[in-house]
Amino acid sequence: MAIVFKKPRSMTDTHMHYCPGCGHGVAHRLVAEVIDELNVREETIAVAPVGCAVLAYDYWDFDVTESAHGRAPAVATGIKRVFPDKVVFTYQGDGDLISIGGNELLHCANRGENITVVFINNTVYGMTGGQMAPTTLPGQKTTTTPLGRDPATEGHPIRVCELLSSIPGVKYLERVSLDKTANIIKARKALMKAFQAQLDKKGFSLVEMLTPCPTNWGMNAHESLKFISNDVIKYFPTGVIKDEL
Amino acid sequence: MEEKVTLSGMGGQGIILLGTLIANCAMEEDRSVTLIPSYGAEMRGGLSQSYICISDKAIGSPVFACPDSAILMYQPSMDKYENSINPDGLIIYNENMVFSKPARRDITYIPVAANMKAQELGNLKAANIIMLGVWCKKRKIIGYDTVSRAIRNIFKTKSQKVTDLNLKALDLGYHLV
Repeated sequence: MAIVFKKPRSMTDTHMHYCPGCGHGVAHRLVAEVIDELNVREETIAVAPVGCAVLAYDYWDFDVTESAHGRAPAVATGIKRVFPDKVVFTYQGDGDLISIGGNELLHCANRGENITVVFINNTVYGMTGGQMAPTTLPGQKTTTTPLGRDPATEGHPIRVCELLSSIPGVKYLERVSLDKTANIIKARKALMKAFQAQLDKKGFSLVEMLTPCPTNWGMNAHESLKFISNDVIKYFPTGVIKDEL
Repeated sequence: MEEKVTLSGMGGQGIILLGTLIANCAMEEDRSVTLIPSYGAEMRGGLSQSYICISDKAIGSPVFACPDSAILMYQPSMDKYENSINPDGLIIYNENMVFSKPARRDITYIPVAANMKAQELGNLKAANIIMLGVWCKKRKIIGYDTVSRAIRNIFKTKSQKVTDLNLKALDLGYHLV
């Protein structure tokens, strides 16, 4: 009997602790599939974030190091500079990446470090209980914006891909979504392209993934996917924002 | 006297609340008490613990490796703590979510069908208080009346229905053994 689908080699058998309906399960698997397809599992060093995915090293069967909150791009810089032949990527949520870690991201991108950033955007601070994040939508209710985010006092959400696009050292930026199967397939292709860019030594690449967070959005899994399709995507359009490969 | 208790269960089973309740009751009865609540990063589920020391004298350290008794609400808790209980100690465990056979001969095990009995009372969430009733009866460290008063106090912002449910649960557990 032919095998048409199986657990990627780069994933462990450990039961995941993520909530039902969380996007991390799919995102972890897509990264693992890409690492397998490029056949670089034994050369990969990932940098895990602080957030729900802090324990990502339990789920991937390649080397993963931890970093302080937001500092993954700086840690990745150090690793890649010492081991330029390793495949180095960070995996970060929106709080980690563009809130506390905004500065590290900016300068890693500006130096054009030859790493890949996998950006998991769920528009809230997940692990700490659903507070407003830089990517929270206008009008979105969170535990720190109970009346809905007001751009007049809280500013507008930050579009990270668009923000980084003017930086010469940044070579590939794409935003994808995990709300529908067709989009998940596109997400996998985007990750392939970003990791290939690293293998081809082109420079900095980032893939932003719109992911569901049913627990902190106060929705069930089904509703949370609809929220991405109907609301999140309107503010964060999917597609290639920069391609200088 | 000195008693070290470990409470452990899944996030949502009321382990943190139970720890606070026991600690407050011990304080009311004029004992020295320390409490360390602990839970993991997970938004849902995950292991949750309360470590309690109750003593007639000043307590040197709130941290301990080997409790004298434990309330264990699901299998990962049993896996983690079964071997740490002091000899002659006591494990009260939720037999609806712990499936392993008792591994030791030098401690006492009391299985309680906590989920099932809580469901019969009307709410799964009362399982922890049923376990508390059993622990109170067996260890004789805090009194039934002290706990009843504490339950009335802790749930006074909720409805009378919730308070009554928990008082019934305490009673049920206390008279189970």
